[in-house]
Amino acid sequence: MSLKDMRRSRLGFLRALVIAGRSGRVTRRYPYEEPLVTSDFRGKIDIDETKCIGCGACVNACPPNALELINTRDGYVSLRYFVGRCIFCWRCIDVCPTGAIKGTREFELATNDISDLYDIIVHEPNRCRECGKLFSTKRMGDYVVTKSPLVENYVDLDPDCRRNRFLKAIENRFGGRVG
Amino acid sequence: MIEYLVFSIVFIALSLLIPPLMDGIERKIRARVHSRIGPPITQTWYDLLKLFEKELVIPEGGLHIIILSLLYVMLAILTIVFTVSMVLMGYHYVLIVIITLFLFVQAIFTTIPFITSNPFAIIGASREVILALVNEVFFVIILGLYMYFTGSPGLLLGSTSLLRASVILLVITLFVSAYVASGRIPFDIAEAEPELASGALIEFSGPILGIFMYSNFIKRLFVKLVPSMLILLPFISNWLYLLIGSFIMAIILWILYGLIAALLGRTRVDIAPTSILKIYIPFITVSILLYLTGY
Amino acid sequence: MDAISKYIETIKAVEPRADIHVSDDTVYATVSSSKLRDLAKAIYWDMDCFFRTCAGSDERSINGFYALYHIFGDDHNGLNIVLKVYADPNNPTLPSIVDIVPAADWCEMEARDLLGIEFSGRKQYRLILPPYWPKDLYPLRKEVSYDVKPQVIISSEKVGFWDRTSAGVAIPIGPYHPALHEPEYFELYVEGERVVDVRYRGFHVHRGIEKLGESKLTYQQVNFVAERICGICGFEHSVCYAQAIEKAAGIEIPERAKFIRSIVLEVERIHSHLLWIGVAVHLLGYDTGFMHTWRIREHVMIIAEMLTGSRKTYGINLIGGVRKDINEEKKQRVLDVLKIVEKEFTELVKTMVDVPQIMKRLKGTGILPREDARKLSVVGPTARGSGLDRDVRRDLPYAAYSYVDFNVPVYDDGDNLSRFLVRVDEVYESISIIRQLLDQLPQGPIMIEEFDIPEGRMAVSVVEAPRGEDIHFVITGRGKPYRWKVRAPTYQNIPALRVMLRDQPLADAPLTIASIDPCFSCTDRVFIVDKNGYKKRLDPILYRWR
Repeated sequence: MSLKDMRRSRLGFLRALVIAGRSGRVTRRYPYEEPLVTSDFRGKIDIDETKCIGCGACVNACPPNALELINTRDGYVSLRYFVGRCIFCWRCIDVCPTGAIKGTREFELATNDISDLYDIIVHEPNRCRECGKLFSTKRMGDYVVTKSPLVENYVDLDPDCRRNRFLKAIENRFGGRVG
Repeated sequence: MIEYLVFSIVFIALSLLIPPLMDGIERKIRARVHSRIGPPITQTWYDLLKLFEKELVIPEGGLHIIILSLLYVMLAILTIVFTVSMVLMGYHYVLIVIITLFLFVQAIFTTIPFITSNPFAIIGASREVILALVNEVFFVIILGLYMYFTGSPGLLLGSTSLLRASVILLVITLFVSAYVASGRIPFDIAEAEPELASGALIEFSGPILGIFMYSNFIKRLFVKLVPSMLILLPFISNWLYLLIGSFIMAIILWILYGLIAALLGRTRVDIAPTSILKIYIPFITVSILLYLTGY
Repeated sequence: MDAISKYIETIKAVEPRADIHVSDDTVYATVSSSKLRDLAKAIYWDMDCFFRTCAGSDERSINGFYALYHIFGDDHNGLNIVLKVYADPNNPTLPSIVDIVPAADWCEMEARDLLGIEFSGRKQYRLILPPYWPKDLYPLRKEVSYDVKPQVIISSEKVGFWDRTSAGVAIPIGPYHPALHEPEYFELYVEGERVVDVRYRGFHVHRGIEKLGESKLTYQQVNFVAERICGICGFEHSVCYAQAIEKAAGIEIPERAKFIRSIVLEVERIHSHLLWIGVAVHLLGYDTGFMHTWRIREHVMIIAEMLTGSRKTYGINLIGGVRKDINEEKKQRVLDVLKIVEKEFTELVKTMVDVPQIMKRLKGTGILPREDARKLSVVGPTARGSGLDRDVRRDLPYAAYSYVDFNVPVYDDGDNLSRFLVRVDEVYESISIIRQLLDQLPQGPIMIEEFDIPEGRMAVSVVEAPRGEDIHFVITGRGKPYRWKVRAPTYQNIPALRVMLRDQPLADAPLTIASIDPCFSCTDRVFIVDKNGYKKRLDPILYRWR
């Protein structure tokens, strides 16, 4: 479509009026009209607190660290979602094992109060039956047991106690002392 | 006498209030050509008033810039005031006064940016000088020839001797000159925003910018009033009706010019003079020939 | 294979002890620094290759040395040639090749600023980091953490800072200017309306992306950062990165994923060119053309959102494939929109070409002669507008481009009009490519789930962005890249501006600068101190992701 193919005329620029007349006015009177958002649009996410197990897969996948596992009280692990940092990539939805995260088409998220932008899901922690320390979440323990029933034996032991039991089992089996 | 005073005041008030409103209408038309909604018609007035509320920042170049800017706006207003009142009065030398005042206004407008030491302003002002050297000179030449052809330095109301081809051709050329002098695309090279970041006006902000912009609007009305009056002159026999007719025609011209400006691109300072001269020289030569051959 | 043996022969002829290995379409040669200049001359001039980029790397933790990789490209045969040299860890100095290969000017200075490798035999200057950055803090060295904040006294740089080549008034364009959409600084030395010299000082929007990719992110997360290198051509950066890792690790992605990547790449090209055409005519004062071009572009943005989930920063690329599929309904929508775009675009271009001021100001301005274009190895429409026939989609086919037929528009005049016409023609070519791709879309999965990325592999990946050829060079590490070097197309094109702006009227300067389609966010990628150029405040937020 080179220049030589286009026939040029002196008054050709008046064609702009024809183009303008045909297209009308394309301005969208937002917010008095609906914005042009397709059904595929990725907006903010919605975490279902009944399904979330606090495993942290979404935290690992999130590129800008909008999802974080924080401590709200001593030992209680919580999932915090900060919309301010979210890039709406929906990777968290891809990797969530229980499908607890749902994507919405919301993007009108501006607010004066920054606490509106935080969603915090507090999980009840597991309590170690030997030393009483709080670790991980109860739901995570239940989930792991459904996937692999064998672990029911030690799912309610915290990692240190678990390690000690394992070392003791090796001592008993092979003799000697393990440091 | 009282009538004359009342009409003068009414028309002066109109000519001071209408230009920003017309600019608002022009923006609406441009928006329609762009397929947009555009700002409301009163937006330009709102912008000017908002500018006057802002703090006064003395531009680089000192206090005399402010004084000169005030002089500029006073001259612009004076030009309109004199035009309106002299026409209503039927003053005999009205065309000469118009030319003088307009040249003063243009001279101050081009000089002020040179005093600021901003390189953008200097480049913008030098472009304006080049354009003015072509356009204003021909403005004077055309009006001078008009006065010579009609034999009077004033307006010959209702005179059918003005229906000669040479005179009409001169007035048509004046319409073109009015377009160039109004600082629209393609000839807004003095304030080319993408190239010079506002060029000649770059050092002005707040009330001073408001003054400049307002004066530019008044100038735009003025340059459209003059050819409108001249073209309607043969057909109207009453000064009042002449003024009313000229105003209406100036408003229509404003809309038309705005439409044309939306359809063209900006020219360049080396191309502009030649493209203008390509129109003026043929027209004026033909007009002189017509006059010499008796038409 | 024949071409590869020729290169191996050439390299061995100059440096018999070179350590060469070939991987896919790349020849890697480790050579000694004393033979570097002769090899550069042999490859760049005798074998008529183009220069892609050079990347410095801190490999002291692997082999105890600093390394510098010079990457050349042979477009006729679809090959990359990588020359690797080592530098002494205590006093890293290497010979400069800038007099042989003028295109290597910036990347050598970048390696100097960021890694501390000195180059002998040339004038060195600070390119990327601001002048008040501490002299011995080199951000890309492995011991420097990504969130270090040095104590600095910020000083501003004045206009007329550099020594002038001739007397004249210095006109600053930038960092804030109505013509520019991103902060950059051009100092034009003018006499009246004629530009006599140009200095460029950019890198105002460095964001620490290369360092971030090496320190804090995992392989899959870097895709999203790569997409945000640029706001207009982000997707091709993400494709280039994903392809580089896939090449290095030997991952073969499904065919359908390749097709979807190509389709979205071409959609991005159409939107980018329409954007540029609008901006170019806006700079000429023709706002009607600007508004209508962007109105047509809106259709393209909507189908981008429909295909990927977002109008820009699509986020569908992962290592191993893509995340979103195309069904029949979407395919039909895309074809309908393409028909509308083609019709309206043709009408609009015909109208714009009839506006007398546009043609007068585009023709004969901003000329880049062919020899200068060859010396500076410019890329993309800038190169094709000056008669260089280079297009990576045809020469080193990637994704699904080997399955489609398309023309590469080349114009010889080298002025702004040529570059304008190249982009207009490319819009039509892209529309045709998308139609062919949608027609041949194969069935199958869109992602590989299981794959392994071993450590210590290298790859060079080249993608044709709307602005030219984009290169990502990766060395894989454990769980994240060890070295990630991005050379965006505008980086290669900006040095050509100095040639294009000389002896031009000032009025055409913004248009000439815009005609290379500068994407300064792509160009500046490394460490940032000062977000706004001259603002006297160190912004702490930009160092940290958290």
